[in-house]
Amino acid sequence: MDMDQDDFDLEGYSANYNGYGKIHRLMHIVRTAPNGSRLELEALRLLVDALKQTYNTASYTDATTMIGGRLGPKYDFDSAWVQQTDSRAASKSEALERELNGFKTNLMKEAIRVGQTDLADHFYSRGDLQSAFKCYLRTRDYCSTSKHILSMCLNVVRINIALGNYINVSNYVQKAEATPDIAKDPVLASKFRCAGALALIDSKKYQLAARKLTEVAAEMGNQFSEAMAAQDVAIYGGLCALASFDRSELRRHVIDNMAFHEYLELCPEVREVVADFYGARYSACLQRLARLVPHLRLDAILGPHINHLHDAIRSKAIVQYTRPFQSVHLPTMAAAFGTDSTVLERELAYLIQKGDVAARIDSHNKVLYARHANQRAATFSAVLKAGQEYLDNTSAALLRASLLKHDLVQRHGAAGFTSTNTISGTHPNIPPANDQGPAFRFFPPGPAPPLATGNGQMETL
Amino acid sequence: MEHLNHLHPEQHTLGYSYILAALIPIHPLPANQVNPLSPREWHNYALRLANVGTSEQLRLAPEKFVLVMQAMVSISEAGGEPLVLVRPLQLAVAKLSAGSQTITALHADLFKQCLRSKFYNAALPFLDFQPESVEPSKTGLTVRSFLLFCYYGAMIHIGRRQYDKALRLLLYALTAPTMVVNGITIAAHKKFVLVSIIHSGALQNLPKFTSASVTRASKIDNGPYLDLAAACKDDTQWTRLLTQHQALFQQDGNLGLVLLATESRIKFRIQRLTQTYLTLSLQDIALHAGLAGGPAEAELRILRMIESQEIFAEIDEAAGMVRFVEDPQQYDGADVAHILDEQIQRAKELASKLQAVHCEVACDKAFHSKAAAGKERHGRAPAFEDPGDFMTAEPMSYGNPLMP
Repeated sequence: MDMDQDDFDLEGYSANYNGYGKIHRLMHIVRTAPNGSRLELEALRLLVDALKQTYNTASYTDATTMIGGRLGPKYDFDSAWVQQTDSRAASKSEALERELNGFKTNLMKEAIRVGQTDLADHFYSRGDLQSAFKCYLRTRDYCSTSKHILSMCLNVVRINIALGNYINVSNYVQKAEATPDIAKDPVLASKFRCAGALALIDSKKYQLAARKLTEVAAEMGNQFSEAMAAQDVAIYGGLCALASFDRSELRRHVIDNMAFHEYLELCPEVREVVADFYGARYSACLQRLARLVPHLRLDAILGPHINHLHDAIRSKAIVQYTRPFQSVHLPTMAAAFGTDSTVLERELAYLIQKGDVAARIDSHNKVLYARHANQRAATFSAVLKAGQEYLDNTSAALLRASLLKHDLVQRHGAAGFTSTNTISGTHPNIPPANDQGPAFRFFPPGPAPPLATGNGQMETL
Repeated sequence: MEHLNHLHPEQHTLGYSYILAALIPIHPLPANQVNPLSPREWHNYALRLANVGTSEQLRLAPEKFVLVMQAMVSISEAGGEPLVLVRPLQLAVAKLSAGSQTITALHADLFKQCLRSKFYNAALPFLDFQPESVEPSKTGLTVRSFLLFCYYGAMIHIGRRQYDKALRLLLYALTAPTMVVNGITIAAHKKFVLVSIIHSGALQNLPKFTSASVTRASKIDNGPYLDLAAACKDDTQWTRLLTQHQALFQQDGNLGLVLLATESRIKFRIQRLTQTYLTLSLQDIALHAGLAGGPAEAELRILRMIESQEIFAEIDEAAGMVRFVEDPQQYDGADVAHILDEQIQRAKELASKLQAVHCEVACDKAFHSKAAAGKERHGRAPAFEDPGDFMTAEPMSYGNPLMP
């Protein structure tokens, strides 16, 4: 894995993003890359470069501590810059707050909104996401047009993606999508689609995520690079689509979708994977995918899901491969998937048990036979079962109704019989011979165990 | 006491049971007191009552009769041999139920003696029916005796390996209307968990209408059992829980069932393999099913399962291969038609019973006053406007899946 990750073009990757998205993704790579590797140092270098453009001195301090002098004097802790930036930031936020207070005393609605947004942007640049989130939220009361609402939603969504709080993301995406004017601006609508897709990926709803991403308009391009670069639309959308769409959906939403094609062109590897999959060249497809996976594992958003997606795509490929055949020679199929037949057999067995592949394996001759369900027998057995269930349930309901009618309801705990007793430790070892209501006065509790329960029964079983 | 000799248990059953109930010997005796009848003498009188008493009379005061019978059981139990009680109790139950299929307070006592004597078949005539209503005023049934009917009845079914019937009875106990939870219900839940693993390979969910207190109490009290059920698919976890809670299972008298559940997990695993493979070597079967004994054990198990028709397969001894074949049942024989017909007839009967119950409810004054009160409270119409709707409703409308 290290080898594969070493040839990762980190500079190209990070150039796709700006704003906090870049910092967020670089920090993720720093965390996941092996300690001391080229990748980690490179990520740290780029991270410090990016942080120097902002007011985010806290993250800068952390990053330089992590470098610890490994990148030469240029990347040592620059206390002068930090002090200078801190004081500049303090005076700027003071100025912004003073301004905002002025607007507030004069009750200038629109100015307050702009002032809050400016303050929030400043916090965002400082890396203080929580405060920024609060300020953006406060603008909500001062929104007068649907355009304002949309920009508020977008800001909140942006912040929450950075915070990783996807519940808020999907809430505000919904709010934005319910706003009437959203259809007029395809770029803005696409941004919300992307954000919604990220939230869906986070909750493992890959199919819905793929739907959203394939609907992104081509005009958006790289305009949402704070959260998602243009390539990401292709990568996330393409992989989710492969993992969850069936063939006709794949054709309709991906292959024939001109807008999505433009995104796929930006990321030729994914385009080839999709084309190979659709063209049933599974071996090539899976090999390409396997090469992509280590890189994608570094991605802050897709990383945690990539293994799952990879497995899902592989299973999907196996299912599609077997579907048209009456019988398949396992070694041939194993060759097509670039694996050996015992591994394939295990995978197939798993898929058959899950019900994804309707077939049975002849393990002796290494052949997979399609199995056509006997509809007639299945119907008969279902009918008999349903009939029996109906009879059982109905008579049980009648019995319960009758119990209620005659008030045979346990209302108070007779001593030694309520469950509380069990909790407190003494086990009511079911109705021993000696407590049968009034006849209780007869004979002392005999030494005989209550009855031939389980252990006694074993002998006869 | 001498009255007993003047009365004839057949002609004067009612008086006889009242007097016997009053004369039940006390034990241990308080100082300076004598039992009017010695336990042995009293027992003989009670036995006569059970043998020749008339059904109509003893159904007039079932609680006295039940009291006498249960005292008779406890005297005999002290004597040891449970088998001698089976016949008198069979007679007593038959008389108390007057030949109709209903649950009486004495069913549970009969079942218990059958269990103690391991004479399960003696209970069958009184167990193998579908109870649909109860008449506590004539049969002396109480909540406790109903729950015990379900519990002991289920144990007899378990003893006869009729797990589906056992599950149904245990469900009756678990879903019986209740305000507080009876210890019997909790014990029934333990058995329910284990039997459902044995029968279907996994824990069955309790139905929605199960009283919330039962669900809650069973979660609190039966944690180890539920943990075991959750570990059904995980071998190491299962073994760990088994050793950890072995003492508890033993104490609850459920260790036998736990061991059976362990066996049946393997059985279900092999059954699943038949859905996946056409042929599989014994070696692989042993591997997939997690058998410690290797191919030899796998062969033995497969052989047994083929014999009991749990799977359909052929073993190729020379090649060490097993070939699984399809279920030969193709539902094209007269027997299937017969079963279907029987089910339809029973469904028809049930539908007319339901209809009768509906009519009864629709004519019930208490129901109407309740429905009217509900209407006032919620300010909306009840589910139906006119009780006439109920009367004219077709029986088909109860969602009978078997009717055309």
